[in-house]
Amino acid sequence: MATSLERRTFLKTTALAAAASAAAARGWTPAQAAPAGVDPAVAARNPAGVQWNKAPCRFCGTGCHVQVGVENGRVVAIAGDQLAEVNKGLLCVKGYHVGLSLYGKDRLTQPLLRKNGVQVPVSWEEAIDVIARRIQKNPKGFAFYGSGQWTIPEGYAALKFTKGGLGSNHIDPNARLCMASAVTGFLSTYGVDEPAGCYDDLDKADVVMLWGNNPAEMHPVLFSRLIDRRTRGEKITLVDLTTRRTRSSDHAQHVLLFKPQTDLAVANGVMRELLKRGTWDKAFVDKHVAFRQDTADKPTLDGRAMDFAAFRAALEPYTPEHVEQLSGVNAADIRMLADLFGNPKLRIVSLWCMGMNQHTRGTAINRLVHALHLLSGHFGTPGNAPTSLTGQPSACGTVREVGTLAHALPGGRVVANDKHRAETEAIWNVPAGRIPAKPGYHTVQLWEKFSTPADKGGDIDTVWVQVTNPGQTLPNLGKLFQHRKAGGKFLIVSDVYPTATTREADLVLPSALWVEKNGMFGNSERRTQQWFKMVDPPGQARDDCWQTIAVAKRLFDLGFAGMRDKDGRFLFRVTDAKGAEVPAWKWERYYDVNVDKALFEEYRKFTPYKHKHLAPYDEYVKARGLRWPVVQQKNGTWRETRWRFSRFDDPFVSPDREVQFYHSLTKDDRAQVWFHPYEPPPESPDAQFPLWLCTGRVIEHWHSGTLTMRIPQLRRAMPQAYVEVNREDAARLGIGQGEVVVLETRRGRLELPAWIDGRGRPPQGSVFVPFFDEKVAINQLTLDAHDPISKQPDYKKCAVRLTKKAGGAA
Amino acid sequence: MTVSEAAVPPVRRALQVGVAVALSASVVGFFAGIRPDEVPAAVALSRASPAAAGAVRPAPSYTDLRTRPARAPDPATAGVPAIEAQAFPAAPLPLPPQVLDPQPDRRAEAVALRAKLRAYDGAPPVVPHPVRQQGDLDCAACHVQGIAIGGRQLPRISHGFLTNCTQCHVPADGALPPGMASPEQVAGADGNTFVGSVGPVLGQRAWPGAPPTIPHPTHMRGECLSCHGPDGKVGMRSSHPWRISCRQCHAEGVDARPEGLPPWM
Repeated sequence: MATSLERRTFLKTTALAAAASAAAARGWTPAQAAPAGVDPAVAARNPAGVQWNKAPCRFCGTGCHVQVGVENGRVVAIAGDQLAEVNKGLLCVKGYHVGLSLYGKDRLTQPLLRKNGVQVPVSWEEAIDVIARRIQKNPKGFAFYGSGQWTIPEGYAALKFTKGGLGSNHIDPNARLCMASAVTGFLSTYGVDEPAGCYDDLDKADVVMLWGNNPAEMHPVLFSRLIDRRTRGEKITLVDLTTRRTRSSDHAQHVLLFKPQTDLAVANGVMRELLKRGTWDKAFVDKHVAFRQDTADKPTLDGRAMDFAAFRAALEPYTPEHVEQLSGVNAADIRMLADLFGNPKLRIVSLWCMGMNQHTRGTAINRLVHALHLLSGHFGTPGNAPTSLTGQPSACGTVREVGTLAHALPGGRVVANDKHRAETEAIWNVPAGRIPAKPGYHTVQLWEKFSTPADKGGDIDTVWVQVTNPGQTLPNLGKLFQHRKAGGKFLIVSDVYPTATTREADLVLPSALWVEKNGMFGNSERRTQQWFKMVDPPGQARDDCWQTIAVAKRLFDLGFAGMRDKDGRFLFRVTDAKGAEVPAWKWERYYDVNVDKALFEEYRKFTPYKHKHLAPYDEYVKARGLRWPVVQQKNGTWRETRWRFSRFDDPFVSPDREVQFYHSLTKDDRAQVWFHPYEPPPESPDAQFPLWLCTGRVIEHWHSGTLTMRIPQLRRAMPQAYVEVNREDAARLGIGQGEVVVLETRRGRLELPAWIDGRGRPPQGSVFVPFFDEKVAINQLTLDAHDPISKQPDYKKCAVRLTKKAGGAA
Repeated sequence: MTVSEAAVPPVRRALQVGVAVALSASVVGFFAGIRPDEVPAAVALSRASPAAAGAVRPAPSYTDLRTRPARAPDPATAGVPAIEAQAFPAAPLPLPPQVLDPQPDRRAEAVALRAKLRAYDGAPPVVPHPVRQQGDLDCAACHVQGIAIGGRQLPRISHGFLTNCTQCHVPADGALPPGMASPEQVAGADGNTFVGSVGPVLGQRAWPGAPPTIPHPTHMRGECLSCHGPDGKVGMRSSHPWRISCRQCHAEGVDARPEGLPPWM
């Protein structure tokens, strides 16, 4: 290192000498120059003392690579990694300020136990013991509630703790509220979860469809990757299918406003038009597609087959004019979309996120967008892909791949499958039958049971929340976050700051955050990323993963049989290089070995089953993430896969096939094109509640604002929530800019200032409220109605009444 | 050069010299031929007041603006002279340019001013004025070139042209309309103990008078004129802003790859 520095200095000096002699030749005299050398006062704070390392960003699912500058044990700077394929040196305003998220002055630094109604500091030993004894008393009444912010090893440990240790399936993540419908969409279309394409498609596409998606604010780096192509002289057509004008609409050629829920009608209208014109891709459909619909009685993940004639007949009512009537999108625009999808020369990417997923017909609309791509053959080549985006850094890596869900097991397995359970029990070395076949409670059920007294069927009495804030983000909070009223319940919350959830907790555990611990995340394009701990957590804050292992060990010591494997060994046994057990449950010994690596290498064994192969841990240390399946080559190197199911890139496609859906639901290498009718939403505006309410995010804040509201630059930019009101509606109601209005639904009431012609512009008859502000918990108003298959609630539409605070109803 | 010349036989060298002389003569002749015999006298522009409101006022030439004496106030264009006087001072600009005083004593002030808008050196600055919430390209109107107006400097973009400005730059005083945010919510922003890395130290000079190296990374700040051009902050401006090929003399002093990255990165 020293040698190379000296060499660089020498080269620079030489170059300078040459440049300076040229200046001297022009008669330029040194007397006019600034003082030579480095100002000693400034040199004392020379940023050369900053040490840099890599990490994925802590916020959304884009998975940008940041370089983290550390000096004297603190993060002091952040830079976008120029060599990272995801973000190519750019970040967004949240990412540039991610380092500040560690330093809010109210970090939780010691365990707090509620005694006589007050949270008082306790030791870690006491906290761990309280949890273990609580679980020991009633293991089946315990539920783990996590998120897509769990690192891969953290999520894996929590899953193994619950399903392998407690023999219970009561573990679910907040991702249920976030992308469960995307999962069911992929599973029922391709037989395996997660997008076939990747971000490289954004560099190739001619047309990009935004389905109820506002990436300019929610996935800004990907959005820039797209529109920056225009700066370079390339042409891209951006179609914004939306229920309100957003910053993304600004950059779109086509802004098609549709009435909430009618995206299903729009998709059906375009497919009908393709069939009518004969511009669907007959060859692709013949070779690679089967048709499918819901079972007659109750919708299921697998549905039932239908033939092409029936599919065609089912679509017949969706004429452009009928679709216009349903959706408000012009018939001419439906035809325009059919022009785009009917043109095989165009490369088309569809992007979506919460608009399609937080939808009571979420699985259906996900399937229809896949269907549109498959039917038109816009699939399987670079620039042609239906790609869902995720909101959390490891919604894919942890929740979807590890499987921290009530029904799932690692690597794409499910608890309902005997073979899957047996394989999992074998890898964990636990007795056969340890894992129950019946799925646990999904998120909405879990919180409903926790908010219900035991004698009324509320059979969950202890919930441990890690890395999420359900007290703010669950829908219909007045119903789903009421455990304190239910009595006899015990809420454990691991977090980094006080939140709406910690305030209602019986035990609060201070956690390490981001680069205060080792970690791995998996982003929206199947990219697994790794980072190392760079700074110490404050006070007594400790890793979530350590917390889980420490409770497991305490249970083990208390004689709880579930925490032993078949050979009587501790379930989370970690060994050093010589094979000796390391007491990782002791905090001071936790970093004696890389526990992340040990857990990841065990988890890796699960991944080949659904062709989601992961490389060894050490490969991720060297890489800026790798997209699975990562397969070892003959020369020993590890190769990532950018496009799945296509022979040119996916090593698992047979050499004699161009495209092969090798996890097909119908076991014939075909993907499923589903038919779904348009169905009205569970709650629509009426005389009493005449407006639509949509909720969502803003660029400055990330989800419930726990981190970003503590970053001065972001909080000053967007200090509080508001309600976006249409100008016409405001005029009619006599509401002025900034005036406080009352928002009421059948579930709750809130006061908010009105923003007219603001960040977003909802059409007449609708309003929008962001959910980041804990002072204005909009989820007291939202609906807990959910998709029948994915169980994901709909935060995007319910009926609301807007009143001037002084009086006068809308 | 000398080595290759020595290797050329004398006859061929004579031929080469001859061709060079002929070429030079023709080039000089061509340019001499197209040059007018003498510079024509500047045409005096009529400075009479427009006869009626709305009449077109002839545009002054740059020479005119620099050399003409101060005029009496023109009621039809009240206010314009003040702006003109600011933009085009009556005194002729110093030509040919001399090295300007970079005012190093004001550097600390400029660095502090710059740091006020940034969480750490290298962070995207917050915007010190309100921004329109939709319509990113509005930013381009002022910041593509940068301007100085009414005593305010609007810096030019420090990086290549990008159009999703609000991706990285948020308004310092909030995106909401004035008065909408509750003061307590805004005050809540003051609870962070982060201390960002400081601005760049001065560049290294090989000896007193040598051009300094660039002391900061140039990624996203490669448009030197943004800070060091005539519209940059006093104390940070170049002493020779008319030279715009900065990296001709100033070598990059900081690697694009930050120090201390582990070897595999």
